[in-house]
Amino acid sequence: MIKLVTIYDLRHMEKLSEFADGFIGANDQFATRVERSFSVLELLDLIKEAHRLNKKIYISINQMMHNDQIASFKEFIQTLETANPTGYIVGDIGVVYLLRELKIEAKGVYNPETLLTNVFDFNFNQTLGVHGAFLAKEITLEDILAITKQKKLHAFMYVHGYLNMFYSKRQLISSYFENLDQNNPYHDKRNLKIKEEKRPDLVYPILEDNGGTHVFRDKVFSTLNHINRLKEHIDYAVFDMVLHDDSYTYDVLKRYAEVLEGKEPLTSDIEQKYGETWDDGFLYKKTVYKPKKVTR
Amino acid sequence: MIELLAPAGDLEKLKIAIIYGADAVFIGGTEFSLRARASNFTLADIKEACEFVHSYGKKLYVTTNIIPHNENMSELIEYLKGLEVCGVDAIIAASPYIATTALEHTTIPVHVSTQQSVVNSNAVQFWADLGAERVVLGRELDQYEIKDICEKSPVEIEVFIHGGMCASYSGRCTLSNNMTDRDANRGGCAHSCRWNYELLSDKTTINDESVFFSMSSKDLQTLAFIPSLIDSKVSSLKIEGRMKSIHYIATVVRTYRMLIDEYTATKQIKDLEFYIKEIKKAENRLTSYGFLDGKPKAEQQLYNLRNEEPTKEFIGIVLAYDPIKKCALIEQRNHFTPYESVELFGPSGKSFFFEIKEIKDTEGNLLDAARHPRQQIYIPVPHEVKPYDMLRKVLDV
Repeated sequence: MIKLVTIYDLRHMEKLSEFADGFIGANDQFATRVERSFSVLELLDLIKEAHRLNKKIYISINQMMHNDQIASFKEFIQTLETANPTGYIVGDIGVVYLLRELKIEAKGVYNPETLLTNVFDFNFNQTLGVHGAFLAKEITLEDILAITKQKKLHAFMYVHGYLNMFYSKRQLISSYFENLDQNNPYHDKRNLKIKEEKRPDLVYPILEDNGGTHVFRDKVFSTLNHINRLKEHIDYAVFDMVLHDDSYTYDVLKRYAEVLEGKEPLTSDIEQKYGETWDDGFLYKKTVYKPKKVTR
Repeated sequence: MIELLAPAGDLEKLKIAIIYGADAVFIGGTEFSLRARASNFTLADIKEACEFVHSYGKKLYVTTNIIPHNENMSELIEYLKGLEVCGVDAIIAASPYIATTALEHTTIPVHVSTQQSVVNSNAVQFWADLGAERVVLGRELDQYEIKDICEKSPVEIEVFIHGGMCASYSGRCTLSNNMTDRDANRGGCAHSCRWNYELLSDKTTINDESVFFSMSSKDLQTLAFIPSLIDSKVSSLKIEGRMKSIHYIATVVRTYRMLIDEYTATKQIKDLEFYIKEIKKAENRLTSYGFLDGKPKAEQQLYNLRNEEPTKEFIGIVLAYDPIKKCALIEQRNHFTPYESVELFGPSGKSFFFEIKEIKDTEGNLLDAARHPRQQIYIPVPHEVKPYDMLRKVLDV
């Protein structure tokens, strides 16, 4: 199991390399919901640094692509290819097709976030020639194991981090303040949260960036308690550190490494240190199919 | 000729949609379909629906648009073959597996659901290469992007023109899963994006105390953009709302039908305001035009769950008319009384106003009100009307 982690600062890559097998960088022209957007030149440096450290380096391209972005996207990829990144994690099937056009689909990893929920749709991606695909975030451990047991391409899975549950192209924070005839000082700020009327104990991080608006789960998804089981089934464990910094990343990676070496999966000290709660998402929670009546 | 595609939550709504001018309808089956609460059709219902729709020379599509989990895959082939026997004209699918299974095991064409949020030509090409006949575009595109995609597309393109909107990219939202355990991509969406939220910066509330933060968008209403979409060679214009009333379906379908026909015949729309007023007779939500004129701003969003009252209330549907007695047999749908001013309208586009002089039951007894749901009653009507014409009263709004 290869551990990939999103990176905030190139200078921390060496230290994180103690536990990480690879990194994920992004540029907000084509990515969204990233803790840091690197310029193209910075991405090239990131790729070179990963190569120096003998680590993998993926570029995240998780925006939904529009036709008017395609020409600049091709230039972006062609520039990055001069440094030869390990691969590209893409959220749009159209971008997979663009990678095919550029004859680098074997570097592609398809991550439609919510859509790969069964073995058939997961394995379908093999026909696209991509290196791998992400399992959906909202399926059970039982489903994950059933899919990976029959997988025909590399399985990527988010194993830790704030997982998003809403991705809109709309800039909803800006619209809200526009409605009040006010300027929006909160664009791209990382400390915003929303709280629903009937769930006052739960606060959900919300982020508006150039790609749109994102709402995250109230708890940090963690597979620490299951990582020793998952390591036999998934090929790439992805730590998405949006809303976190590299020191947090180091602490978390270290803890996973310890558990993978056989230590007890202790979480409370890190949860306390960073003031957050971890849970295991939908691993043991099946979502309801065809409810008779939808209630709040 | 561009297709006007309407929703049908049950057989009655399906008939109304077709009679009021839809070129095709889409329905949900009992399996593999989103909108779990809509009255979904059994295979026997679908067969009957197909026969009705085809008798008018129109088409019927069945949604099989869930994002399935492993447990949902059994009996898929049997179900698709059942749809084929019924004679459906296409399925609307979001899962490549469901799409390819239909293409391999049946002759049913595949339309790609908006749940896939297709917003570029490369994604259209992917689905075309897979064998899809049509792609329903994501709702995040402006009119010029739609035109560009249509020009480059090897397959039919369908665009949403009216009804509820996901604030998120469709298929990518799991608010409902996380907040209510109900699977948004398997028919259980709780519409959590439409709820009221407090907005915080760290622990400080930053929303206005009288206006909650919300992600909710206004419903789509694109009357002004239909000429542009027709000129862009969009193949199908889709109205959303399988759970809406027959009055809503009749009004919205008829209005778009008239507008499309006027523009197709004359290349102009003389009085857009007329069509806007027509829609408002049945529309109970605030509307805007989504992304069609560019990136949405505050005008496209909905705050404090505001609603709009329709300007008319549906009170009955015509079952029969006696031209000699100038009297119509009506099935009551909402309470009304003698001496109320009403509008009678039908699929032709023509309507007229009159005052209800009297109400009689089928025994000939005079009534002081039509107060029983689905009660059959007689009222004098000055002009000839036909079955499926509708009666609505003018509201004081």
